[in-house]
Amino acid sequence: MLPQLLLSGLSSGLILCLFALGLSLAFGVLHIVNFAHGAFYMLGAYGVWFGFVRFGLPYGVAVLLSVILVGLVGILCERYLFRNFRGNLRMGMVLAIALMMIMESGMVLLAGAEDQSIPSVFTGIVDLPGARLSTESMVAMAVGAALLATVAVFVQRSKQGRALRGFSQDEEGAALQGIDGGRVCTLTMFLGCGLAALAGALMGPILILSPYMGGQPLMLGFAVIVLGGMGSILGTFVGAIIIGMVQTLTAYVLDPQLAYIIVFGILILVLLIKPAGLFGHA
Amino acid sequence: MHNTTWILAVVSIVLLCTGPFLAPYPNHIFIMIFLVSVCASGVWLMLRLGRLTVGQAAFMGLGAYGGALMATRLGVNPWLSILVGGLVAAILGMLIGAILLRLAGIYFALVTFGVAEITRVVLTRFGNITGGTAGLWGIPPLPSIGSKLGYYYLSLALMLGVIWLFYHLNRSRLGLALYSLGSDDTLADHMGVDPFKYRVLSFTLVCFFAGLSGAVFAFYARYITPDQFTLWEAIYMLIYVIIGGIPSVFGPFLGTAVMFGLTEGLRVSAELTPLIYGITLIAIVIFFQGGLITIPQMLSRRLRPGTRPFGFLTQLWQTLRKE
Repeated sequence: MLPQLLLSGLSSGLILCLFALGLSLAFGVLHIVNFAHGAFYMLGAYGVWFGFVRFGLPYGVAVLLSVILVGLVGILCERYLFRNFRGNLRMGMVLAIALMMIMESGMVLLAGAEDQSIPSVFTGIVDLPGARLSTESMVAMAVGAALLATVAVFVQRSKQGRALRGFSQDEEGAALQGIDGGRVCTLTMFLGCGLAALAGALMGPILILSPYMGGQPLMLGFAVIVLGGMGSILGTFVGAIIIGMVQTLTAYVLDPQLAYIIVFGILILVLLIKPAGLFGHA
Repeated sequence: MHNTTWILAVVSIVLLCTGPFLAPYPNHIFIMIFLVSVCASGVWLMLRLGRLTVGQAAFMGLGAYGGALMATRLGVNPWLSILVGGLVAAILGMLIGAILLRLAGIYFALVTFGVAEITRVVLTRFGNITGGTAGLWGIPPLPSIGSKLGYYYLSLALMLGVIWLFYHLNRSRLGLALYSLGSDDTLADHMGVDPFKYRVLSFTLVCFFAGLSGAVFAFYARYITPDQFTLWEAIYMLIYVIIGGIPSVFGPFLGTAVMFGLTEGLRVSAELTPLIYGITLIAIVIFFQGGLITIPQMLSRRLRPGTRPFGFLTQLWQTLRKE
């Protein structure tokens, strides 16, 4: 039983990491507490639903389109709303809440309030020694892990990634080195929202779609970035795996609702003992 | 200042007089505005102290459940139960505040988010006591209050009491001490205002009011569920405060009244309410950062003799023409 639980925990942790990475980038680089992030996740899942179920596009094309479109929506939000309130954490948060409400209600108008589902593309079950997982979850895990690695390499190695890290450390210093702050913000928002949309698109066939589906990952995502240290990529990864494992284990041993309490208990404890999180700097 | 007193007096008299002439449904809406605005004013006070709480609906729920459980399970007098509801919320608020108010701004907001969620799960889970998701039935009505009109006056009295208190706080030395925490903790500390102590005290007070209004709601509705006190309600309260205006004591009350009026007046369905709220919120944040309450001030500044009242329009026109 234990390997099975660990595998499920790892799979939910990886998807959570995809989601939380955008949340962490938004906070670390743009200084936005992005309450709308769950809504971007929801948009990603619905994007696939529209493309794949409504318009009959191939599954891969639907996922790709959905991720790019949601990323563009994110860029628009950043450019025309958040950028006017840079440095004002409270107003940024209020704007994000407003955006979340608009996107969720907008989706009710667009697709109806009733639940939707995306039929599975990958059927069957993969047998591993001591554990089994649906092919769907395996694919989601593999794609998630591959993309996480790509993003990590991009942020650590590429010129754009270096600009992004420099900007998050010191905006004026970055500007003096010729880094275009506006471009960095656009890139960050595109990455973050695209990753959230991808998490939604990967979870779409596994979960049931509803306009309010973003609430649960949003709460877990906040727990992850606080645990890992706001704005730290390594911290987000470790935090997501820990929260994913803890949630899966407590949901199995006790029950899913109590898992929430335990996750939030961890969040509060971490904040009291080490407010910067595991990998954050004060 | 004299102006404000007059406006306050006129509004209270109008509200007192209109009570008996209201049809049942508007009466219900007014009661909800009174009760919710009391909670929203708590969010406002904490904002003025530099802390954002998105969990205030949870304390309303704790008050509601505290009061209702006293009356239904233990048979305590409902009036006394209302007070107990307030005290339950206040004590829990003090405990939670004493642990969490040390956290800096944004972290405190995230944690209150968690507290609200934990409260909901606890209320749902201990179903054998609280009735679970099905809710708590059979709450007795308040004795000797009779009709809906009685509840109208009771909740109006609660709201006016809170307004009166905050209005006087606003002009007192204590109020100044509290507001100083909104701008600079270190400075306030050096002036002899202990930030932590004053924040915990204010949070306790604010939770007490939230609990009271929750308990009054429980005896008015006579049926409560955990779904009535979710995170959404708490976020709405924050929205009322920002739309009404943070600079003034009356902001949260104005904001609650306007937003309730807007959604009820347009007869918006429950699913679309967030859409209206979100659009209004963005409009307010972009055009009137001080909230609705600053509009008269802004108008009077624009209409002063010698200024061009719509100068900003000509400016806008010129920039548009240039592009």
